[in-house]
Amino acid sequence: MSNRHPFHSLCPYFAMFPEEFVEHQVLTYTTPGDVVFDPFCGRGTTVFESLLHGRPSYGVDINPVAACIAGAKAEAPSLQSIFRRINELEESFTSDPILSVAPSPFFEACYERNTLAEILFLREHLQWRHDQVDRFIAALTLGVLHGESHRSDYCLSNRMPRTISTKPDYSIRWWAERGLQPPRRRVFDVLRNTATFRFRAPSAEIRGMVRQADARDSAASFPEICGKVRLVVTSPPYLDTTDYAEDQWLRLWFLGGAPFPELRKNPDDRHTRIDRYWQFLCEAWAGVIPLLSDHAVIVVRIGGAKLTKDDLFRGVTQSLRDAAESDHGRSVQPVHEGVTSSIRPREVRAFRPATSRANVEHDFAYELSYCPAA
Amino acid sequence: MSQSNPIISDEFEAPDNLRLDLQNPRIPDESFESEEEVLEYLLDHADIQELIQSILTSGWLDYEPLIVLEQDNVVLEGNRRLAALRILADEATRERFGIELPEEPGPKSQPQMVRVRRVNSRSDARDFIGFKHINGPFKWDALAKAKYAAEWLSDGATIDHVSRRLGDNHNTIRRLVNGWNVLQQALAEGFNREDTTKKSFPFSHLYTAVARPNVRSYLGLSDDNLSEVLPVQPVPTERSDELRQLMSWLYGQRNEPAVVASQNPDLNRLVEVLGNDNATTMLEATRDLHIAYDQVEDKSLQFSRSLMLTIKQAEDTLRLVGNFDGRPDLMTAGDNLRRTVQSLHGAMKTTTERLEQGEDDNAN
Repeated sequence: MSNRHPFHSLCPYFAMFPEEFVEHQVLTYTTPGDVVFDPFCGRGTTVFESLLHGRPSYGVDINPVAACIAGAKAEAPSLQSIFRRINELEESFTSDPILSVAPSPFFEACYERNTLAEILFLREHLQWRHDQVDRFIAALTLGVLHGESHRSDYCLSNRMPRTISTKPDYSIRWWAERGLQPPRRRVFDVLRNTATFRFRAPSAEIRGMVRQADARDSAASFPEICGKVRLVVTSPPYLDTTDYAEDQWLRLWFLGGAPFPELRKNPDDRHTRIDRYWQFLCEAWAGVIPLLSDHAVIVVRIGGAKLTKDDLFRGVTQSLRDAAESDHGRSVQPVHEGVTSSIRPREVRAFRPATSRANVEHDFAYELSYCPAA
Repeated sequence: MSQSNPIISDEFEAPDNLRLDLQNPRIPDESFESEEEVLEYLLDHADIQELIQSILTSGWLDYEPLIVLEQDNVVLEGNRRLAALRILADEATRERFGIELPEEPGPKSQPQMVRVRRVNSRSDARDFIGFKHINGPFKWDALAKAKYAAEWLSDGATIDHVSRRLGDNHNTIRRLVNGWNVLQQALAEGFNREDTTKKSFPFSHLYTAVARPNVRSYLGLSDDNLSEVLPVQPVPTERSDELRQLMSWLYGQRNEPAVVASQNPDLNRLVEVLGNDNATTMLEATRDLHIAYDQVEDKSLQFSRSLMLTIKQAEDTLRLVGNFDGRPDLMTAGDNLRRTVQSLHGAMKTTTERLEQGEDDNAN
């Protein structure tokens, strides 16, 4: 409906849903001023799109990369303050360059020596958890940390996909076979340019907030909005589909994580057993329900390689009902029978063909309200 | 194509003996009569001044040989570098092009000899040149890459080889070459690139369109083997009019403005229109993509989009209501809006009740 805001593509990931989907839900179920929430907020599409439509919105995500990027979009500082801070960082780097030691041979093959020194400096100095400006600069860095550098001068790495980080041994082999060398990128210049690009449209007039937390702790994380949320638009991790920590290991490293992929770091990212999956979702809804106003709507986009639409509809409905039961008899009514859409081909297929893949995903919507009798 | 190593020697040559390439594959849009024209083009388009500055500062670094044709010393790879050396070596050339140097070039920036690698033919040099430009400083655009790949294939290389050397997958190279072959046919049949109605020439419109089944069918292109590259002159003679139409819709021609302004959504809409005979006829008759697309758009989706747009615009207006100055005609417009919204809501409700009634009847 509208031109895409440049913040949406700040740092892509293949599990993001399109902003038109959020816009549709927001315009259908809320009016300006209504509060929107996303307990699996990922890169913050729900939070930011809702803010653009004048709805205060909040989100949690357990993964630092998601919390950093979504938080940056929700509480964007001014472009001037970002420039000031980048200049300040560059000045300290120039006057006192750290002796950079590549954490492993992968990093030497992935980044040119001087580029790596600048990245290591930023990793060391950005206080992204405590400062909004630093968080935005960290999010900008995550967006350019790796990518198709043969196509874009803004990608800092040797040639890689932008959505996911490939594994170290595989990457080194792949580059060596093709004789690919990492490009020299002046990181501070790249950040100033990408910041300018991201700010070519005005940021949202109202601010939201994102915290790094487990979906089950949603209400505990945002006591200030308990009983106020009118709409939840979310997409929980799909059954047996991806492992976030593995896919995003390089970005996780930049935010302070290990310099190698950690498999199954957060077991809730990839459930493989169906019973535990529905139990996990039920607990997540239970964490969200105290935030809801008396009449609220939850829209869930969900898929899963091994589950049919009927399986998913039954599972989501039951997990919501189980969670709502403990909330003074709140009723859960499906708004429709579900809308199915096909998933666009994912970049990950080219790099990890063995990943099990869902072909379609479904949108279910529920009204949650108190029964008059109860 | 020869599988043997095409390099015949690595030697040194005086820059004065080397010649700029008048058929530079990086520059598919231009033809050159003289080296001077090439020099002028490179100065305008290829950051030669930056390279000159670098040579002045660091001296000539002979780290990579220029690829040179054995028989006539034409430089196939390294034309920017040769152009920079020419300018550094010759004050008259600098004056002709109005170039002022920050310092007088010394011996370190004016090498007597440069390293060259001689090859017997352009096709022998392809492996080097294709590979170099995967990550090169003067990256090829899609049109240059398409031309290069098409010529390489016509010399007998396999698509697998060309894809690997250009660093793209088969599908990308196939799409580029297909687009190139269709473009060449259109040009041969009268399409004029100087006479389009767009400022630039977005080649991606054409190669994207040619990959879509609806467009292939409209042009009469074979779908027998989609993994193969289309032959030269791929559009059958009886579809010449369709080819002319397509090019005109994509790029405009003479007094016919282009109907595709952007890849998304216009090109996708054009592709959908071409999948429907009525819509295609409508487009041919009116050149109005909106009218034609109206024939094929999913009507319930159209309603949903329109409803969302209405809500959004009403909300945007609500945000501005503090600026309403009490004008009576606008108040009348507001009343009118209320009646329209009530009618809309009433009609939707009636439909819902009718559908529910139908479901009940079916259930009974």
